[in-house]
Amino acid sequence: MGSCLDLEVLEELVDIMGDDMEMLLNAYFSDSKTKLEELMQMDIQTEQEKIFRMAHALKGSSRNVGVVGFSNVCENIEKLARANNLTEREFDLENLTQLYNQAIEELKQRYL
Amino acid sequence: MKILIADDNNTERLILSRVLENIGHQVVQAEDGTSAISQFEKHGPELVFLDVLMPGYDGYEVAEIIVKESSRPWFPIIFLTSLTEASDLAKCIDAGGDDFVSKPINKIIIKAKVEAFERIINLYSTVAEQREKIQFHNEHLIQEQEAAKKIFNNIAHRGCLTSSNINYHLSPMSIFNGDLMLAADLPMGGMRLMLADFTGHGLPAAIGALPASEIFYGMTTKGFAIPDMMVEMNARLYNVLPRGIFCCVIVFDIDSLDNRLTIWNAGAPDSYLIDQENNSVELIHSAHLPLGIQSPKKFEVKSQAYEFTKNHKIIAVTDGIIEADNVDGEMFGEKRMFDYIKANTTENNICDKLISELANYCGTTEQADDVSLLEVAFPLHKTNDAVVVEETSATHSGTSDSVITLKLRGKSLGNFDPIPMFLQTILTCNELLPHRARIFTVLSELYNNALDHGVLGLSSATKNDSDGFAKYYQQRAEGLNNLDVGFVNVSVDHRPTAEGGEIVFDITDSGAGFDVSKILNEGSKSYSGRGLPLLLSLCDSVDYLQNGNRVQAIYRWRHDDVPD
Repeated sequence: MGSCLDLEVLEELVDIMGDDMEMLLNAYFSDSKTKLEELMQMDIQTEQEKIFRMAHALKGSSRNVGVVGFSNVCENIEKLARANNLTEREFDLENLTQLYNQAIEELKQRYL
Repeated sequence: MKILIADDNNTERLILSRVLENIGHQVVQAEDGTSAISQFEKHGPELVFLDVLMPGYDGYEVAEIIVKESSRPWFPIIFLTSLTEASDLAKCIDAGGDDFVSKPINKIIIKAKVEAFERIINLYSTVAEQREKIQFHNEHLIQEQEAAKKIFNNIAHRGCLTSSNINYHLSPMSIFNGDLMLAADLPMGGMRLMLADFTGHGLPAAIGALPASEIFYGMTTKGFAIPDMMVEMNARLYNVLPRGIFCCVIVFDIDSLDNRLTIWNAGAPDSYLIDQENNSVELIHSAHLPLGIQSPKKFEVKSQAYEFTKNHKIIAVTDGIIEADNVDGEMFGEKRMFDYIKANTTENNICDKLISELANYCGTTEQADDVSLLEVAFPLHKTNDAVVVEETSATHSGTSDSVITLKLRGKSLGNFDPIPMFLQTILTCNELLPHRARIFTVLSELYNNALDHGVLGLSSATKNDSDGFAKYYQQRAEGLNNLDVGFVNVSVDHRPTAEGGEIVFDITDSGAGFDVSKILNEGSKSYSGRGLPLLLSLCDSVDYLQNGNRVQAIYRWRHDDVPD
């Protein structure tokens, strides 16, 4: 079965963090969970600037821990929102949540 | 190294912290712009990583504040950015950033950048440290030079250079001067001056000036003649100066009793002897190698004598003035110098006029060598010892009850000047110090009469011709050179009396003698040749005995005598 994670990034991360890998991942889980929930509350009509910032933050932290698929979708949202061009079609929260949960599940299985 | 990381992204901050900690750095974290500034102030890091997009102050604003607040000469800021637009990256640098790294974080790139910045930081602090050291050394050096200059000026002081018959110019090239100008009153009145130019400038040149000055003042006060003094000076400089450093010198005595200039030029440019009465200028050339070159064995001083009266002036210069360039690189030169002096012989202060003429000539050209100029007119005659008396400490009576006798024969008469030796011995009686000039005058007049007129048979009348002066001293030098017979016997008998003491000078020579009464009858013209009026004014009695080849003069002094 294929992975939705960038295992190369994660391998380097284990090398850098050592025993603190678990601490790092837990920090990512709680951080990204809060951010994702906040993102889902945002109004696509009036809050594209806020959406841009939140998507940017989620993209950055997710990429650091090798969560590439989810990160790429965040990047797409970030770009469109920055230009105030984001529509309902690309702001697909269901897809976003699914990608997120899938990645978290795999991270937990592999590294915790 | 202490490093601040300001990033609102927890995972990113954690990873970067760990990367930096793993390579041995100490990390301070901040999760937004406001805390970045307070952490910066609190911890004083040496390097900072700044995220661009942060709540509170963003990365650009934090960078500007940090750059403004930092006390370091250079404070490196590295931006963390996932932005890829060239304009976003340029903004990082505009805000005071020095570099940027793209996310996600790559430990190899981070490590390489931090190492590069660490090298630059070290370079900056090394430069700052060295600058501080150099500044410290520089201040120290200046302090030392100032202290040394004080000592130098005490030893190589100007003596009586400020006398009214002297105009001079000395321009120092640096804190010390390679040119040396000294002036001292001669013990029997008149003056001795010396202008010396050491090769080079500054400290090495100044160091040679110290022994030269000491010898100049020491031996002049003790009554040594120019040749004896210069032999001593050359021997000292020959021993102390390194190869390649030497000293060009012009030294001259103005004898205000005998109206005589005795001059010796060793390696210096021509001196100018001006006769204001007939508007003539005579050049006095260098007749010898500079001091410090010839070994004492080979060294010989032959000074020249000229008539020097109230109508005369002597100008001595060092090569700085001759070799001064104008804007076209053309030297001022000896001809221009001579012509200018010739055209201004009756000027009161030729020195000042010549210096401003030189300044006009050189224009904006930078001065390359010391420029020194000495202009001396006839000095007022004085036999004043007020200055000398301070030297003594406790009084002791020394040779107050003694007889010193010395007989000089043939060759020794030409080779040895006994006056300084007598003077030094007599003056170990400290009470006589106020009488130094008078005793010196009496003794040297008596001795030179015995030698010149007695042993050598010279006639003072010779001096009365137009070029008689040079002729007289030429005859004297030749006579002394060829002497192998004849003698002068000098006896100085110093005995205490109730009021103080008396010194009986008794001098006999091998000459034919002379008819004292005849000379006295002939009047002032003739007897002044032997300095008789002067002797009579200084001594209590002067008696010529035998055929006139023995003279006895008595000088009395009292305890309460003070210098005049």
